[in-house]
Amino acid sequence: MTSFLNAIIPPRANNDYRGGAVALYGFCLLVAMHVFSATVHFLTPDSGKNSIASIIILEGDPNPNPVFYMFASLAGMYEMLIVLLFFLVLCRYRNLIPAMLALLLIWKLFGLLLTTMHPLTPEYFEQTPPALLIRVPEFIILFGLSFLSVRKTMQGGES
Amino acid sequence: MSRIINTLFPISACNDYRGGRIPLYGYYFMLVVTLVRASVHFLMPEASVNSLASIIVIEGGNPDPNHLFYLFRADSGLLQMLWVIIYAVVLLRYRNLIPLMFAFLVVECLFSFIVGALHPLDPIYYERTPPEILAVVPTLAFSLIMTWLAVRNATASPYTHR
Repeated sequence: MTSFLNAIIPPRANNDYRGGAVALYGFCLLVAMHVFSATVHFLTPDSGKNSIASIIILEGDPNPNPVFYMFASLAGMYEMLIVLLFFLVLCRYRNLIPAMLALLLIWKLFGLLLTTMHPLTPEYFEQTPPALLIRVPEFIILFGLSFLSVRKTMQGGES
Repeated sequence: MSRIINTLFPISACNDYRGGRIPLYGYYFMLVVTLVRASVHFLMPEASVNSLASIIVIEGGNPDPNHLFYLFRADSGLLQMLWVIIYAVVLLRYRNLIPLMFAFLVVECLFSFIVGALHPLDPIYYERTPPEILAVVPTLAFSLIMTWLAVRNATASPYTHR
């Protein structure tokens, strides 16, 4: 148990990564995905909600869309902060990559909780949003990468 | 300059914290405040959009637009909760990263100015000014002071850079 914990959050975080090449490249790919997603959510005028997620233009009085875009952009802002943390880990603390993969897993599990608490009916969408389509494959890939990186680290494998 | 960078981004992150007592207490405070904010936004049924942020309930929309407000405010609460986990791990395991966490808080405040500039909201959407808007400038001041104190104390320590 201690070595499992030490593989995820080692006592000293540095660039001595031993989680294997697959987990490293997989993590880089996930970071690239989150760079795109965070940039779109944080910086585009509609936060990607109408143009990419295909959520319909809302109606109401007063116009609800500015509030909706603002909240979506706020979520994109926190996503961007996490992306900055990922870059820092890639540059300076690579032996924290298993911890970052674990964080991504927690993120996805929290996401399930979120959609259970605030379910949206299909009338809100023109088509199924990409984030929902890739949810299950992304979770499986994440789980696999986490398992690989922790196992390799516990074996003391070389990067 | 390199001492400041090495304090913010130490080559080896561990529990060897030399940033002083005040930033450490400030860090506890930041952790508790973030935990409360994250819990309120992530777990409350209306994500505190109406009750705390005092955003009015939009009427007449079909489908109901309020559900989307709650979903996406809760989404940012979820991400805040991830930051609570990161803060807690730093506190338990990597205390010499506390100055960096304060620097992240500075970036968060600056980013929130960008959100405000990109998506300005008319006062018609609020019953009163939301607490988060009121708190941005004090939070920025707090995070700048704490970053400065933590970096100053750590760089003054003769044992910091090994």
